[in-house]
Amino acid sequence: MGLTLLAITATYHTSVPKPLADINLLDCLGEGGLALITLMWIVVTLLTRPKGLVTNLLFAGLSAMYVSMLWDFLDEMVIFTPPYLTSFEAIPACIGMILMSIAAHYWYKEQSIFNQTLMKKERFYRDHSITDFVTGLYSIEYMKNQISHELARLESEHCTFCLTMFDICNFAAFSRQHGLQKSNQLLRDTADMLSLSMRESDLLCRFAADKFVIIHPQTTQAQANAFAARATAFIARHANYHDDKNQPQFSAVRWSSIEIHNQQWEFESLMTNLVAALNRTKVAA
Amino acid sequence: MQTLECHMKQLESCYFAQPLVDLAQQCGVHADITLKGSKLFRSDLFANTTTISFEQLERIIINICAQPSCRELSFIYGQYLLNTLISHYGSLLFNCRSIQHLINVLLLRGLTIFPLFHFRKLHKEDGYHLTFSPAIAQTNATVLRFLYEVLASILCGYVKWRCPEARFTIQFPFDKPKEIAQYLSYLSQSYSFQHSDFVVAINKPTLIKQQINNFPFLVNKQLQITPKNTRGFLAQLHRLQLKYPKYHSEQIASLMGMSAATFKRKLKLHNTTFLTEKDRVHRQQAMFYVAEQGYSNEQVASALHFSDITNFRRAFKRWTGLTPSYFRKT
Repeated sequence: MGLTLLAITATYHTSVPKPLADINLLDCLGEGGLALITLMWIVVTLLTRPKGLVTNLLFAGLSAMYVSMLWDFLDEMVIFTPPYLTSFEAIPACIGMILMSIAAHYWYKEQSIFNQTLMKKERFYRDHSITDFVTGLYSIEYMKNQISHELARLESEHCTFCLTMFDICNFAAFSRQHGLQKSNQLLRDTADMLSLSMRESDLLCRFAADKFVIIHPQTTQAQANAFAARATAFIARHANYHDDKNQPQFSAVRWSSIEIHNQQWEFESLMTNLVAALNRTKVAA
Repeated sequence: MQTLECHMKQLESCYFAQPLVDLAQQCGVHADITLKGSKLFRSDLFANTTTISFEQLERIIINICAQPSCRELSFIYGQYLLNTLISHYGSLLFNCRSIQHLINVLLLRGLTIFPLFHFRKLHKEDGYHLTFSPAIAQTNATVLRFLYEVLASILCGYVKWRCPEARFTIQFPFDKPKEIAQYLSYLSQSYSFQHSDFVVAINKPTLIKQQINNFPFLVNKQLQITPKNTRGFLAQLHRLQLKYPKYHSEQIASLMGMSAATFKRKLKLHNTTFLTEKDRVHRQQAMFYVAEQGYSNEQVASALHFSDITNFRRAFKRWTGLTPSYFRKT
């Protein structure tokens, strides 16, 4: 907004209006539209990206582009005095492009770091539309695709894979006591702890409610059980602070796992079996 | 008698709008998107006295169902609503001796606690069939599915909390959804799909299951304190249609305190007709008699006040697409 006012003020002092007959309305519309869209990009960048170097560079680059676009747009309606001012209209855009190229370089580096953190949360392809908003993990639809992929591999590679389902003990009571925000925080914490306890080849997804599913490719039941036991022990040692008294509360998870060694299984029957096994664990406890 | 109609602003926002907006926000959906077209603003919802109409609730649910990130919101909302309702009616519900006692209390005050559905208790030899129907207005399939999921979540959550050993079966009146994860996670009871109504089938051992830490002598006192039901438009219509099965539309209209024309207009406003609702009430009863009680055609026809068996068979086929004998076999 400041830039726009500055540009209009500068134009007011350094130009005279063109006669109406010389103004090409279609050209004005196109160039005005370009300036407006660049301005929207600036707003969206500032609203959606976290503060930092990449955002600053993007903002600077887009602002420089915007100055050029606006200059070009105003040029359609006024005659600059002195006339050589028109020759400079592309300079800010050029600087802006350089700044945005630098921003793209740092953005790529930033993305590479994020890709590392997503290693245990995605495999082979990315589809943000099926992520779970609370935990940031992929939802069960993504897992469904991965399971069919693993089932297809079973025949060619002759090796088994395992699925483990975890759920948080007494989550409903926790939810009643602490409310939804704290429950969501517990889900996020549990997701983080589970992903820390996994191998890089494993994949963690959110099932629903307080349940998570991990796929362990090329793994036997005994190995999967050992992973699950280690993850459970890790989570049990984690202290949560849910009140102002600094009294730690310790979470606990239950798990059930299943080894898949033939292609007869269907996704739904796999999940039903895992949930049933988990319910049996609850009853036994 | 005053009934709750779909355009009347009588549903408390703290139960039916504010939590939905907040929960959707937790799933990344902005309040303005949730409230779009409902003629409500987020700031309105914070006032304790704000009430909304069923039409506004419908709009909010449609907006939520359109968001892919809100897939399990119906179940989460059910759990939330259970906790909120318990904070208001806990001393009435928690102190019922058994599930059977709880059902009887809900028949008296159920619509005060949860005005969106009413239910009929149908006895069978080994338990009850509770058939639920919308109490205010008929609505589209998306909203109805959302509300049935909320109801199932409340019922399962309550039983898991207060009678963990109780077992019942839920029948959903829609096709099996593609995503079954929410059902597997939130519903601790058995369930099946593709039924004609939302039914909860409870067997005798469950009915006599005791609630944890109950004090039944408090129930009568709480019943006196709890305000009486304000029946929804459809709940009142169903009650009269059951009570006076031979009455035609004009007679029911007069019992509901309105002219035949107004009654017809209101039925249209509630997305239904007199005959549709009459058929619904009779169908529920006929299917229960045929499938669960093993009644013969003569017995069902007589129980439903049909003049002859042929008329009953024709009506049954119209309701279910099958003849009573074929329905019995399937």
